[in-house]
Amino acid sequence: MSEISPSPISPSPIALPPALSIPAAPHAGVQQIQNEQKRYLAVYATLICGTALTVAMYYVHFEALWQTVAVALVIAAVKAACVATIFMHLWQGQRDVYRLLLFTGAFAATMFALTIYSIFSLPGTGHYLR
Amino acid sequence: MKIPYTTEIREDTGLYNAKAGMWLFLASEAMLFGALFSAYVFLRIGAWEGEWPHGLLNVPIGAFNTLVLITSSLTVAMSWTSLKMGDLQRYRRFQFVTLFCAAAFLGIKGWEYFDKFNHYEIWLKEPVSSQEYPQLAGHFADPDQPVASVIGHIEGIGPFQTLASLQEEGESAVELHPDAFHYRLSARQQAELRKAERPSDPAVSHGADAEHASVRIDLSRIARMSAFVPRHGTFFATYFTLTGLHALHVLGGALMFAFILWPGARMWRDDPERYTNSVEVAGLFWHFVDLVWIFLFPVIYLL
Repeated sequence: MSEISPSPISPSPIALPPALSIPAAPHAGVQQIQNEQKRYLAVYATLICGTALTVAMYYVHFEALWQTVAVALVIAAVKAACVATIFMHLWQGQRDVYRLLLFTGAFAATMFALTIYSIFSLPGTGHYLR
Repeated sequence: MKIPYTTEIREDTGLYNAKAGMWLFLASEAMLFGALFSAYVFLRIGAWEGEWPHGLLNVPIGAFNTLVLITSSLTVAMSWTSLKMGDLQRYRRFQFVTLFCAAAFLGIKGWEYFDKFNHYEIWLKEPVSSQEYPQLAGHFADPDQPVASVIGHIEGIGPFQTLASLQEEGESAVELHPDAFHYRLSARQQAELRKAERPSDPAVSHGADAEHASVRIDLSRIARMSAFVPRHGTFFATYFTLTGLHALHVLGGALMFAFILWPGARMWRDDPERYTNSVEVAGLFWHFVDLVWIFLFPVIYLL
């Protein structure tokens, strides 16, 4: 990765309107941004490892389907949490976003719970999980 | 007229307006994909052993596409930090990579779709045995148990063909190159068959050799045939719905980034902070699309 330059923008090699080359003032501390970039790279490495684990799981044949589903979803949940907290900046403590996501999560969980309930309550279904 | 809260933070939400709006939109998107996932789980778990296909999707290709999307998420995040540093040129370089990744993802997905459109299942009127068709060895979990359907690529016909369309074209038979394994065999059965010792005769071995040993089937013996399209069955109906909707989101995100990168770049001159925020908000959408794929890949390709 190229070194991060804290200086204002340099002339773009791509044809831009001349006015677009006006430098803009940086909006955050250089050290803070560099730390942010390090976090992004760490998440990227984690996501690649998670993908490799997911694929490896495909070649390990668990006894029951629910075991496979559980392992796959745990890996996916860890990867998703990395993306949401770091790439989507949720770790920065945006309280109103948390509330919104809490409501969405509760609603989605209810929907999934109803689905699972119906799977177990209807005759002839849910045999894979039993 | 000045639009309020494009860069400044609202006291009541703690966010600038575009960001608050995007999070609301993403919440609705989570419900949309959540409903589809819920339906998928219901159908998948409710399917009896042998009814849900195994091994029809290319796992290495799907894994590669996952890496492509993850890489694009990184470049989006890095492009935003570049703008925060005031480095427009570096931002543009990262966004070019993002757009390249988006195009690569869609191209690979399109190739996968095209392969499925040219892949067929044939349901026979009378089941066939492994003795009659040794080329179909990978279709039998139990060699003594006849099978009523075969899958593979058919020579010389295009995508989306049906039994009726072939009869209309005056065809009398099809030349099928059978898959190494039938999808009704579980992943475990396929792995065991792959490991098992087979005769050295290419006609009865598995893998690439088996795919080249074709089977000629008269149309009069066929009860139904279908390409791997949504009408083929529940699996492909859900597969195309989920991945198709996701691919549309990738396309939408790429168009959004392209707009911000070219015509929208004039905003950088007038209001660089607002421009930076627009990249952050578009990035939120892109990361969400990545997040959906993180769940889609194992659920569709691996389970």
